[in-house]
Amino acid sequence: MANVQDGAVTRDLTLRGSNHVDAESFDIVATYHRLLKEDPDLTMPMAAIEALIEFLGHSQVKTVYETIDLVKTQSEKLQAAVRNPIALSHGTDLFSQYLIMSLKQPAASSASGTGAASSKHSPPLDNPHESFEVVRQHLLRNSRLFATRAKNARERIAVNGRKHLHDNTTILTMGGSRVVGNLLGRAAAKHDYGWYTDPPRRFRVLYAVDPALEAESNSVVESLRAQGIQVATIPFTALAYAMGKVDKVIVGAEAVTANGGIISSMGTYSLAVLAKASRKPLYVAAEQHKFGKTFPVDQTDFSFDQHVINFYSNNNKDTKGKEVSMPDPIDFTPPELIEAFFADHKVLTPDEVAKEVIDMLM
Amino acid sequence: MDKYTDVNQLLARIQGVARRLVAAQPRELVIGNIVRRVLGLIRDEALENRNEAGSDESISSPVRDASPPPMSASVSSLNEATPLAKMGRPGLMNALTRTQSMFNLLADPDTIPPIWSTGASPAPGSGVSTPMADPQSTDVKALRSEVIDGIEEIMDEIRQVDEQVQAYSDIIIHPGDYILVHQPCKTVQRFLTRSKRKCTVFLVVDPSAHPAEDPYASFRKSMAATGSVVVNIMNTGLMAYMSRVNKVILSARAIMGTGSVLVDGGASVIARAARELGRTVIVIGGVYKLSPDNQIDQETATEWGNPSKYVNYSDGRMVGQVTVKTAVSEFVPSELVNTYITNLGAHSRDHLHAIVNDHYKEADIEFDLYGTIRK
Repeated sequence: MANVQDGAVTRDLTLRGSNHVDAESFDIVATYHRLLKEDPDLTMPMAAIEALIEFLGHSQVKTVYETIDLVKTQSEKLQAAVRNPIALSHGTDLFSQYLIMSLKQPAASSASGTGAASSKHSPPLDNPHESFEVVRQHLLRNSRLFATRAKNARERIAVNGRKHLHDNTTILTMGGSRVVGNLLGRAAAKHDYGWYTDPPRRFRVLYAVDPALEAESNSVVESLRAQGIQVATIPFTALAYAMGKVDKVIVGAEAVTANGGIISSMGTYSLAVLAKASRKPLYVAAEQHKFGKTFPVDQTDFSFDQHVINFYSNNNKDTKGKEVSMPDPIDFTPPELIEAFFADHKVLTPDEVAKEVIDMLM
Repeated sequence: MDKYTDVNQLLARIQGVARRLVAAQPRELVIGNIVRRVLGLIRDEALENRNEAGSDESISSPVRDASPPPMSASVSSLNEATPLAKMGRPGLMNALTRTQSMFNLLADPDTIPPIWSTGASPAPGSGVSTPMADPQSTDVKALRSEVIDGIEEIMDEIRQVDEQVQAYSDIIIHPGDYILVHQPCKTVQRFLTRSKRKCTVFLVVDPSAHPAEDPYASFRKSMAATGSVVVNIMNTGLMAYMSRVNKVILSARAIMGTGSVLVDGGASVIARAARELGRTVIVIGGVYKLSPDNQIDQETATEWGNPSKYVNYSDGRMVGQVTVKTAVSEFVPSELVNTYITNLGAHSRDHLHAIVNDHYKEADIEFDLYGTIRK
């Protein structure tokens, strides 16, 4: 490792400073918003990753460390420009961690002989910059593939989740999550495993509609009904009332935290508390790329203020309190309230999520 | 059985047999566990062969040679055999294999060798960095004997479970304890008799059991030899005794990664009663009972059996007008259990998933055995 670093330092000196122009002319924030707009199916972490890859395409930097440095500043720029950067930061973290990992394993992308043979005479022989260029090229080349993989993740979640949906049950959900909508829709159709065709599940869906998310919720409800699933919509206020009729609760998430909790649209926490009180298992359908190192300890432990709670009276002096609440507010559901996650790679417990996040960052 | 020419064929064939086995006894999760262990074993052995073929010296680390029987050792060897390890960078291996799955999203499709996924054979030629086909087909013979050895080792491991679990009995059982057990299996019986400490055992027995044939006669005898007292309890007396009990020991039919347990019919109510009064609930079972299948819930876990032991067919009025159901297996949700004891030691619920991951490969965990019989 020492050799590698020495090499990098000397190269850095010769190249440093010549390429910053490209980096500065690139507007990562605009790119991020454009990507999200262009493709409504893209999740925030994925859009962040795609934006960073586009940035890599624009910058001409050749050295590993400089690139990592630039990716870091670009990520920070992006995070600063968005009011709620949690989901996005999980994407940028994953991306920069991937870069660092690729640097640590120079043989990974340039392996030409057998894996076994090259491992015998490991790192010192490999030029880290060459192999880094390979990684960079791979990222630029496969950027679309990543987006496709991320979208396919929803299908894999549907396959993993359908095992947990049993006939003649009632599933409660909320929030207009596309992952959940897809999961339920797919479960109500048959699935071909190749060696066996799984028959459709017959279940009913109870959809709690939050007025703030009415449009998204209605589109999910409509599509579920179109697929022949019996759906009842209830107002959010009727959750506790309806809980007795429910067998399982499934929600989506914007981001999955390092302790195995979730950041999701406002109201998810209330739903989770109610489900726990009635001992109904709560499942979260979320892609693995939403996992990240955010570690909130309570509802207010975020880097931004949502201004959800604003006290004020009609007294003239109280002008400070009249702040507007953040659009798309979120809350944090702690891991104790979650039974399991339906992720794209497997079904896992909150503890397992925590372990995966730690593994990723180490 | 027919000949197979490569590993994927062998894996696919075993998966086919596995489905038949599972379909015969769908609620016996242990069948699926062992099948997955064997599949994982084949993957390991094939991988090892391949690595040896790739270079003259055996490059996979020495841990591999020290292989299975003590499970703690095989933990590290199983970890190693993930796709990244195939690319072989010894020093970083452990750090890398753990992180693998999060980075799959960004992985280069050209260099990461295909995971030998379920059934589907890897696309030929996609494993640029690893020579696939040739070494495999030549080594089938060697593989065969290695796999058979491996299966023997798994069988040995299962045979040794009782003995290894017993070793923890002195930690759990204290002199003067009042212990409640429900229809103890051999493992639990030995666990109790091994500790020579004097204690009182409340034995919850099946009310339908014929008094003449006591299945626990030898258990009673060996408990009496150490001066312990064994008291029979019928279901109805359960709660009355529970306030005296220090700990409840249940034998598991299967333990799920989430901590929920599949038990014999009648044990679930005991777990609930114990929780109500704050008594410790301990679940005992070999590590081979720890199952990666976690889709089972209260409803699907319950197996309904033959009730004729409880209601006689000669009782015409009963048979005609009453539906009698008896549960053969039941589900104990994870929050009712305090500790799990396996042959690897005592575990908390949070730790179970790690043991599951150590024993089964991801490709095998995903493998759906239950499709045809789920209803």
